[in-house]
Amino acid sequence: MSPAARWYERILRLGPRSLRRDFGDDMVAAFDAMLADECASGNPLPRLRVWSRVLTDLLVSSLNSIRGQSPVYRIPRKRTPMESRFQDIRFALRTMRRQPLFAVVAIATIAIGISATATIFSIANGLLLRAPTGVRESSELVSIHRVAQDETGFHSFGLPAFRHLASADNGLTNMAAYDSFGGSLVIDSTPYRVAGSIVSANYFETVGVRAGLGRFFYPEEDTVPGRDLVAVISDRMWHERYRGDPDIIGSELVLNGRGFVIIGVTEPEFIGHLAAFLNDVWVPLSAQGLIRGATNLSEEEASVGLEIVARLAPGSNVELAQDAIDRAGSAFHEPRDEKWFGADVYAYAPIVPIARQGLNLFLAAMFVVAGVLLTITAVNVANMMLSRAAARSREIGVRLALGATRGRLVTQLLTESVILFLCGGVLGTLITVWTTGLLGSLALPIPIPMDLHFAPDFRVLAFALTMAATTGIAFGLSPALHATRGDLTGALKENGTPPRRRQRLRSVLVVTQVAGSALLLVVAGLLIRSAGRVTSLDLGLDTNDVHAFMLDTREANRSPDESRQFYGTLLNDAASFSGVDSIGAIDVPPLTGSNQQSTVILPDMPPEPEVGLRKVEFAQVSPSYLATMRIPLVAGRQFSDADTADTPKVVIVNEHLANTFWPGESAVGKRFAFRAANDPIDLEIVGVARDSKIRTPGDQARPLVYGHWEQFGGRGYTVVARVESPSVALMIRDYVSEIDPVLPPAQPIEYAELVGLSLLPAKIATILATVFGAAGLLLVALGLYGLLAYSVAQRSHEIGVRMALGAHQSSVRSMIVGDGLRLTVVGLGIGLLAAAGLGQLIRWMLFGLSPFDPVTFISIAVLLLTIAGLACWLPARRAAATNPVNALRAE
Amino acid sequence: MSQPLRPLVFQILLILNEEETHGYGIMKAVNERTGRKTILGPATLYRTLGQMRDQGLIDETPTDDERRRVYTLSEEGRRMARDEAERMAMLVERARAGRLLG
Repeated sequence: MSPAARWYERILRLGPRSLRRDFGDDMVAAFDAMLADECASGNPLPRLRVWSRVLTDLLVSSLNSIRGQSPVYRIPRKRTPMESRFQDIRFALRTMRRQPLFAVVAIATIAIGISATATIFSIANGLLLRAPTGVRESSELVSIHRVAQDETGFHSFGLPAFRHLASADNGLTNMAAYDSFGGSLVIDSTPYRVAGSIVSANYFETVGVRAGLGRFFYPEEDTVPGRDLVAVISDRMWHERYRGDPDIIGSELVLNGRGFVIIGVTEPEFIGHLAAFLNDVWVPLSAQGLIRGATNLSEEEASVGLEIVARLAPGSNVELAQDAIDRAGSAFHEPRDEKWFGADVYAYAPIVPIARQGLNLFLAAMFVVAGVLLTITAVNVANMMLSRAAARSREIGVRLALGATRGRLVTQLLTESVILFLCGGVLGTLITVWTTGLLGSLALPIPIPMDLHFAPDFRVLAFALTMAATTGIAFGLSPALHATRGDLTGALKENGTPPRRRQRLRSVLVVTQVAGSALLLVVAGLLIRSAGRVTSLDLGLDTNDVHAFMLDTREANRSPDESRQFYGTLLNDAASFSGVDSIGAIDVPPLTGSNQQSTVILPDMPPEPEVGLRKVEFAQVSPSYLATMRIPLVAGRQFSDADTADTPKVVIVNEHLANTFWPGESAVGKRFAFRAANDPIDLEIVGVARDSKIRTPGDQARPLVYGHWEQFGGRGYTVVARVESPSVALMIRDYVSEIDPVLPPAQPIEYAELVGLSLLPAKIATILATVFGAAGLLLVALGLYGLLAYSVAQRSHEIGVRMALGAHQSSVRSMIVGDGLRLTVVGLGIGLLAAAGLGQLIRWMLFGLSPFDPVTFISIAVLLLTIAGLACWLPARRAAATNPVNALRAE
Repeated sequence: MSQPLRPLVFQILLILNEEETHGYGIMKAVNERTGRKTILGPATLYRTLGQMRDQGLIDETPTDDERRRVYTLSEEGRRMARDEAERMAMLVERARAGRLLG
């Protein structure tokens, strides 16, 4: 063989194998002969020509072979794959029209599963993915958070830290700081509540928003405290409060009692770079002190708490930015030798940073639950398709016999299932419009303007359709493969015994369904039981009949002295109103999810080894607060009128703190100190209060210090009043406006509702899990019945034989029920195990209920066994009633 | 009447009707008869021969040289060739009637 022929032989290996096996040697010989004939002269040109011919020939022939083109007959051109798809789609639609009930039931079933996942995805989309209008190139944005080593709290940046990072080589093109505030805005001498942000001058440039009118801040405008009183307002506020006045630029805005000049209006629909909260006014960092009503501007500036949003430099990424921030941070020493905690760089998400982790946990759990529901619906539909495929086995058998390839039939059946699922996806998205509307209309009992905007957009639609197509393929493939599997003669016979494989597939479907519904129902059961516990949970305080008023005298630009007087008058006078049981005040109200911490210094203990280990919760209260919330003292005394700003500072601690720092001793009379910006604040314990929940109703016990409000002094307090009727609360509200007409009116909020806020994730989870669980249960009951009834019908021949051979009716019944229950038990086992795993993920929503709560697990097992038993019993009874002669004659 | 054949298949049938020959012989004959306008290569040839053999149009007889199988026309092949020739003759008649041909 010539070297060229050897090469040709090697190249042949790339071509069709069947051809090579059959004619490889002949082809090489022909090639050799061809070469000898054409290239006798040794001229390289003919040789090249031969090579180009045989290679083209091989390529064309291979392609024709792949396309299945017959080399013999000039039969009509084969359809292109695209044309085949269209034909499949037309065929699928025709099949759906022929069996409209099947189509409607299948599409509705799928829509339930798809809308469940799409609803959860919409929440994720609204809070994590979809940047609010006006935020541009959000993939380049990062947020930077300071972390505490104990991970107990969330820490903001001080102004020096921000300035240091912003001026360092940080791998970012822009780094902006922001902090939100609640303010009051006076228009035509009427005070309004407004949500605003204090931002660095480059904030708007950083997030990418454009001005709709006027301009944004100049860099020098955020440098000198109190000098540049300029403000940017939202388009929304411009229209709502100023009726779109075109001459708004340059006019005055009275914010928290200070006059600001409006220099710009943002582009329409910009609400800030965080989702859900409607931000209406922005002022530069230098106005921080004024907004907060500081008496000493530079001191206030030093204590500011800032969050950072930044834009990555071209070519940079989160990791590089993190390295740069770490380097910059290590070179930073905060005033008074405070340690650099470290800062984490995250890809930007529109959710408030502090809520991100909780939201991720919540969404993960909900995605699992919704995914399980989708699986159950898909299994139901797969089962329906399997039954239909069995009914169509003759049609399929005939087509196979007529020469249709199996691949072609599988593609066609898959097309049918994908179309069915896509229709379900579209319907599911429509349902999602409704469900997200319901979620968005959840009114939050807080005086902050919010817009929960979860409406599905193209992303949700794309998600729903992708999910639909994927499940359509995943759950359509097995029935399609089973339907077209070999055995022509069996299929063509009118009543073939079911292939064993199909039985096995059905068993897998039963197990999947039982497992999925067990998982769903256990999660729903746990959440429902824990929701029931919340109301009976011992919070350590009594919120019944308590109304809250969130006040902040800084919004009226009141000095600390004026504020003390205001709150003193309010509490004194309102306490004597008829219908007011008692009234008190606290700066950080419990069970609202918010908290405030201080670091404890103990005189006779070594300095703490790590930052954050001696952090305690801290709240300033009026002397009447503990009594109002019915938190009893277990030792010592209450605050008294003798404790004033001029006497030594005294505190009441909770039992947990007392037992942590002075185990086995009385804490009353003990002394400790708070770390502070200047000198430590010395404190003496005068009383020990019973433990009560602090952050959330399911919160763990935490050390807590109550400070006397006159000894610490603040201007933002939540006044709590235990009243006989809501109308009394309205009297208090009116009285607030009477004492200080400049203060925006404070709407009374029932304290229980305020607590509901921290229960909101659990509440939503409970609603979703209950709805999903109920849908799942119904689908499983129907699905199990369908699966078992069908497999019994398929076994009628076998049953007939058994009975002809003398099997008793009851033994046939118990055989069928036994078979069904065996599968149910396997599914239950898998489902309950999975539920135990998922329970860990939702533990934080269970408020002390064990994720392995035996009551829930056992009752769900019993419930499912009962339903499965019924679903088996009905077909079993029918099977046992079969006349064996009929069953056998049907063959 | 049987299905219309591809031109190459008809050519091969015509060649084998005149003489039995091996693959390379067919290839050379086809290339000469088509005036070397399109050159038949080994892959197309053997793929076609394989199919023709599978459908019973030609018979394959091994010779002493294993790589030189000789092909002969089968009865079925002869019938198909005749059908195809008649189809073509009919078309040629039409062309004459329409004065496309002299």
